[in-house]
Amino acid sequence: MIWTLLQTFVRSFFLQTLWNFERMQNAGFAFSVEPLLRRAHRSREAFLQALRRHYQYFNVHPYFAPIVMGVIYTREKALSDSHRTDDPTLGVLKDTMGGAFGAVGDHVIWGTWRPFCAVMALGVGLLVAYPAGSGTSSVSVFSAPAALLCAKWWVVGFLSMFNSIHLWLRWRGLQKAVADGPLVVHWVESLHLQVWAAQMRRVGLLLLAAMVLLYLARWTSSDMMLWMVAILLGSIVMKRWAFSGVAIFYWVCAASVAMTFLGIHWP
Amino acid sequence: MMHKLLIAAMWAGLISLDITACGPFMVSQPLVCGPLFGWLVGQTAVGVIVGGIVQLLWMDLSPVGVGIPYDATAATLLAVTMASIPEHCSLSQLVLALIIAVPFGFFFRWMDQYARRLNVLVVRRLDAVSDESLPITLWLGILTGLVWTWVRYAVSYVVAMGVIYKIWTRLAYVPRLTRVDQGLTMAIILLPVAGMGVTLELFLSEEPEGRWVSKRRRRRQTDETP
Repeated sequence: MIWTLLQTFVRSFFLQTLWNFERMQNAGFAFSVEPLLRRAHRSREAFLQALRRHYQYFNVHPYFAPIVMGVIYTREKALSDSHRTDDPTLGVLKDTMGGAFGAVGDHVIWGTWRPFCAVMALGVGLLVAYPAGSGTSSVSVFSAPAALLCAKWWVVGFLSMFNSIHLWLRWRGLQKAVADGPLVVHWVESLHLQVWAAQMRRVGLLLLAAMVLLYLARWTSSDMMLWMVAILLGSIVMKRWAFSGVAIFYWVCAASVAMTFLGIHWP
Repeated sequence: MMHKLLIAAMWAGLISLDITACGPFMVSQPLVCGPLFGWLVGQTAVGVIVGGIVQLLWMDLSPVGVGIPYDATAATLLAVTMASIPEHCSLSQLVLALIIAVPFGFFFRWMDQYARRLNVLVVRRLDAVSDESLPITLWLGILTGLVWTWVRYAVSYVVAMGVIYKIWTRLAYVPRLTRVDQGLTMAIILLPVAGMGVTLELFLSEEPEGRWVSKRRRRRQTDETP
C-alpha cells in the first residue's frame, strides 16, 4: 500500500498541469488518483470505468487534494466490494469536499501561512544580513556578502518553513483519508486550522510591526522618517480602498521623484 | 548577450513551472525566485533587492478559485535580468528596471489565461480516447502539459527579455546626479515601506485570500452571481 500512496503523493504535484476553465483540475485528479483506483478495483474494466468517472469537473486547493483522493479510494473500494457498478453519491461527495477544502485552503494556506512564512523569512534574513547600525549608504545596501547571506536565509528559510507544512499536509492527509474515509473531516477539524490561522495573523502582525519599527529606526536622524510614515499609512489606505500593487508601486515611484523636486532627498 | 538572455529565459521558464504546472513549492515566489535568479545571472544582490520589494508589494496575490492573479514572478525575473545587464547596477537603475518590468506581469497573466483556454482543447481530446487507453493518455497529457508550459514560458521570456534589452540599450540610462535620479534612488528606500504597508493591511484583513481582487472586479463577480 505504501508504494501506491507514494505514487499518488508524487502524482498529486501535477494536479494543476492541465488546469482548464471547463473542468479545472479533472485531468490532474484522474492522473493522481489512478494508482489508488487500480488498487481499489479487482477487474481492469471496473478500474477503467472508475478512472473515466473521475475525469469530470473537479477543483480544490492543491494541498488538500490528496485528502479527497484518499476518501475517493475508500468509497471506490466499498463500491468494488459491494459488486455494484456505480455510486451516484461519489460525484456529490467529491464536489462538496472540493468546495469546502478549497475555501479552507485559500484562507489558511494562501491567505495566512504563505504571507506569514514570507514575513518570517524576510525579517530574519534582513536581521542576519544587515544588523541594525550597519549603516545606510548605498554601498551597504548592495554589499555582496550580506546579499548572499540574506538570499540564503530567504530561499532556504522560506522554502523549508513553508514546505514542511505543505508536504506534511499532503502526505498525512492522504494517509488519514485512506484509513478513515469520509470521517477524515474529523481529523481536519481537529487541526483547528482556522484558529491557527487567526493566531498566525496576530503573530505576523507583531513581527511586521517590529520589522517596520526597525526599518524606520535607521532613518531617525533624517527628514526621511516622516515621509516614510506617510508612505506607510498611504499604502495601507490605498490597499484598503482596493488599489492594486501596481498602482501603489507607481505611486511610490512618482512620489519619490516629486519629493526630490520639492527638495527632500536621500542620501 | 543574446546567448545569455536565451539561457536566462530557459531558467525563468523552469522557475515559472512552479506557478501552477508542478507543485507549487513556492519557488516562484519573488522572495525565492529573485535571489535565485539573481545568483544564476551573477547578481545576487540585485535579486535580493528586487525579490524583497516585489514580495512585499504583491504579498496578497493568491490563485483563488478561477482567478489568475498578476504575474509577480515575471516582473521579478525580468527586472533582475534587466538590472543585471550593466556590470555595476546603481540603485536608480534598479528602480528603473522595475518600472519597465512591472507591466509585463499583465502580459504573462494574459498569456496564462490564454494557455488555460487552450488546455480545454487538450482535455477534450483526452476525453475522446477509449477507456482502455485512458491511463497512458493521461500520462502523455500531463507530460505534454509540462513541456508545453515550459516552452510557452521560455518563449514568452525570450520575447519579453528581447524587448526589454532593446529598451534598456536604447535608453542607455546612466545615473547622473539629477533630481529624477535622486528620486529613483529614494524610491528604493520607500518601496519596502509601501510593501510593509500592503502586508500590514493583509494581516489586518479578515479575508486575506481575496485582497488582490479590485473592488470593481469583486462587484462584477457579485452581480454575476445568480
